[in-house]
Amino acid sequence: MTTRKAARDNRFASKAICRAYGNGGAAVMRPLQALSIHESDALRQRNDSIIRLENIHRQFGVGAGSCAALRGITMEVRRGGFIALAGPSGSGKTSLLNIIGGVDRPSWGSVRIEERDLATMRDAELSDLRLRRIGFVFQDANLIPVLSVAENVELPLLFRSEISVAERTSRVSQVLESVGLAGKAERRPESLSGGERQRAGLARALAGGPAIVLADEPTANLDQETGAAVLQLMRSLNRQRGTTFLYSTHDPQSMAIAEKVLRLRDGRLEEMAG
Amino acid sequence: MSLFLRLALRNIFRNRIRTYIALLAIAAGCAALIVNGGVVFNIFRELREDAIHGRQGHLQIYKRGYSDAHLEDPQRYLLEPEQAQKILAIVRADPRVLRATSRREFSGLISKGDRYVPFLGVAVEPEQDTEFSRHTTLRAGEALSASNPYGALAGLGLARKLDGKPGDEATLMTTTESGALNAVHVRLQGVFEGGLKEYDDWTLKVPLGAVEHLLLDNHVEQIVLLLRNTEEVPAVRAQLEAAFRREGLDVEMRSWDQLALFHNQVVGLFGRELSILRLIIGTIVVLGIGNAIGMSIMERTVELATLRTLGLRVRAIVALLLTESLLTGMMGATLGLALGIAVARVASAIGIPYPSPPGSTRPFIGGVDVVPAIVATAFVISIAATLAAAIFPIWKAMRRPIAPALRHG
Repeated sequence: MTTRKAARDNRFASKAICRAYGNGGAAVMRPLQALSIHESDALRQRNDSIIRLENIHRQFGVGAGSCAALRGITMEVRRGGFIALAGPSGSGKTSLLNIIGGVDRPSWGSVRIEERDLATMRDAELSDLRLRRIGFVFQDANLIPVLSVAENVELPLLFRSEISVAERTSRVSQVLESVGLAGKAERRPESLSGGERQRAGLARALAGGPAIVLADEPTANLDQETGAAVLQLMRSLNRQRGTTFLYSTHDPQSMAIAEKVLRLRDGRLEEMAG
Repeated sequence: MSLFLRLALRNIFRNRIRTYIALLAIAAGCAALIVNGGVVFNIFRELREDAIHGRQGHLQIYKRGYSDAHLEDPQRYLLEPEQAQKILAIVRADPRVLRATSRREFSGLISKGDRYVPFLGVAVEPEQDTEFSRHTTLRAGEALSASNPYGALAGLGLARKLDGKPGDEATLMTTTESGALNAVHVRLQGVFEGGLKEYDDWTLKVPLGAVEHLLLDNHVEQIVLLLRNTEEVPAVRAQLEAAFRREGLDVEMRSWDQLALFHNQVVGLFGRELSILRLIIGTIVVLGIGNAIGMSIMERTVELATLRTLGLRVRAIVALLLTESLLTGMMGATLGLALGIAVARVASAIGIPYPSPPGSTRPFIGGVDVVPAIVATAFVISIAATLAAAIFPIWKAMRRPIAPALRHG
């Protein structure tokens, strides 16, 4: 009941915002059929679907200073996909990744991760979902500076009681090996290059064995060559492990490696390529 | 050491200067609590020992009803000599009792030459009185002795009023139980200072034998006990009360803390002051380090948001931040403990000169007692203050939504 009420309140609030913003609001309310995956495909692929968004809106602030970051995003990502989310700065890529990762909640619309509706989940349940099923890679790697590379990778595993100490150690070694940082496990992040830091961040994201890895501009702070290497690594891990990757980028070279490119502009999905 | 603890410890020393300042603030607060508590306890102890070894002893035994009604009818609440002997035999059989003596209080006039001065007499057993008067200073002459049954010791103020000095002869006058006027001659053997002006202005100590002649009876008013250890007072009292009941002795007991009014007033006053000071120091520590903790948490906004994004629950991050504060508090308090004890030891070695307390006649040299209970309280308060200082910054940080926190800075 509480969840239903919250959803209803959310819908009412969103409608009120849309009314307040005239044309913009109307556009926000209208489902963007043309930009969604074809209905027939969606039905056929439902069992394979790992991420499913329906009519996602995200509005920041209220009143004159408010802005709509996402305007009716409907999309679906299949398990094992390697998807690029492209678009210029401010197009809503980070907002969309945050909503998919349960880091933020949409103003309106439905998010399903492995058929679980995020709107019905409490914050603690979302934390558990992120801990067990979703890995995150940040633009700046966001490693904990006082921990070594191995400790950074181990940290999220510490909070999973089902993983024993021995398994934790083994997973850390394996994942560091797979990203090519086995020799730098005891190094602190400050002593690593940008590419190495990003690979350490990738190792941290993968150590828990997630179903999805969300990467927000993982190559933005790297030079072309290093960025390409990181993306190649992500792609090969995607192939080896079957982990779904969804990463944002505005770099054409980074898009080229993706199975599919979803283009965002002004909070709307424009087209799909790949 | 677990990764969780390693992370907490390393976080503490990220900004070393800020951490050292915070540790110093906690240590200073903790040391201040230890030293202040030690000073106050030292004063309490001095007053307690003054009361016990200067006037009251540890325990006093009277005929039942004495405490409530002896002022209206003093004769009714005197102990028969046989009763007194029986009581003395029982109490002296207890190995925890160091000394036991009989006393009797009376009042009258003392005259020397043409001076007549009222006094409050205390009849004592001379051979026992020295031990019961360890905190009494003999200003002139010598202590009472069994060999001089008609010697008397005058309080400093009383001696001044009489213009008396050791060797002077004086006459004690009082009324006996039957109402007859009686007098005995005594020789002023010495002048003492008990420390309380009221006491010194009126008190005359006379051997019990002389008082028996003066009052024409050999009753005893009270049996006074000195124990080997003050902490044993409640236990000894309970056992003696049971023994007296078994022997059919209808007596009552009072302990030193029920009799030492001045001590109790000072303890009440300073005890309240000590509580207020603890609160003030605790508040200063909270305010002093609250800012440092707040800064340290704010600087880590992105990092904390990252941890939450990675799936750490709010309670896990709160536990991490509280662990950091707890460790900081423990380190600061340990430092403060060492600092406080060192200051206490040095101050006690040098001695702190105090003027005469209100109502007292003599200044004294005090020290700083290292009291385990005070040290433990200071340690706990310092840690609690550090944790309290962390609560608001942590609450504020955890209320912040993850997505904007990730964009912070």
